[in-house]
Amino acid sequence: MSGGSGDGNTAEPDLTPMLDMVFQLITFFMLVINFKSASMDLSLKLPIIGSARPVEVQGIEDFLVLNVNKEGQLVIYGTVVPVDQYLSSEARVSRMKLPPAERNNPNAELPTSVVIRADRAVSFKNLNYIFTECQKRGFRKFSLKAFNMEDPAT
Amino acid sequence: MSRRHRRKKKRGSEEVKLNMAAMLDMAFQLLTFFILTFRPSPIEGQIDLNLPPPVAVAQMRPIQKVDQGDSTGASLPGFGTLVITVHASDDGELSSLVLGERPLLRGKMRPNDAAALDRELQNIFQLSGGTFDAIQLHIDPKLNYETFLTLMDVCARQKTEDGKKIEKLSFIELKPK
Repeated sequence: MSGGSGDGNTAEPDLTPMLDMVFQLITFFMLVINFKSASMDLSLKLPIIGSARPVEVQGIEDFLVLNVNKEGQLVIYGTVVPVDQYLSSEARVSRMKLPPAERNNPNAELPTSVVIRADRAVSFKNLNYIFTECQKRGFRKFSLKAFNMEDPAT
Repeated sequence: MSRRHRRKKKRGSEEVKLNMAAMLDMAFQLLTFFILTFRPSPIEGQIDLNLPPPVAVAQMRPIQKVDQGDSTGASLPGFGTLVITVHASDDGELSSLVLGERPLLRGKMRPNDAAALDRELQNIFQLSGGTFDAIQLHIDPKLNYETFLTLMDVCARQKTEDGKKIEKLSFIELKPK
């Protein structure tokens, strides 16, 4: 019974530094976590354009992210959705953000900026369909996403 | 005095022991969650465009004269739209690019081609004497997004003679042959 042969001394390691370090790590991960990335389909291979500028959010409060896969389908939170239905519902929501006087004006420009994240291989025909559907519903501001350099993960 | 002193001494000798193990367990669980869900996303840039619905435009004829620096040759009044026609091969790559009526690029787009197009457009907009203030791309439906975006990027960078950015940028889909 070697375990019992001690004089009753218990080893009490000082856990404070470990707890400090763990909390620092938690703080780091909490700060860098980005729940918005859930709306982005990270499996898409975006085109590479060297002059693509980082995102500027000044003045624009509202974004509508549209992921377009290789086949030209609209992917929202990992699910393929019909383009016209989805855009109609989003346009309705965006229209509510307009001043009351402009809400009933069908030609009013919607305050939402459409962010297109399309696969580099998608054809212009499929893409243009999405552009046209957006324009029909009053979206005017578009942002086309691209990588500045090759994605190291691919 | 002495009683208070005695009481203080007694309290000081009591050690409050916090059980850190439970807090550490929870902290490690949180840490594990954040580590497992952490996925650094690559840095994405963007090209901003203001795109009203496109309208049909008449193609301006004297582009060759304008392109050669003959600003007096641009006899058309007012502003105009420069039309760029882009054809694609079956695999979606660029097959030809026509600037106005003049063929500029042929075959798959190479890295230098974007710079060549940029130079041509700069010449046109600098030397046209304000003839052009808009660009319209007529694009083959088969063209892939990467080439399309490269062309849009070059067009969006153009400036008029007085240094203002070209804001009227639009595109329409060519009818398949």
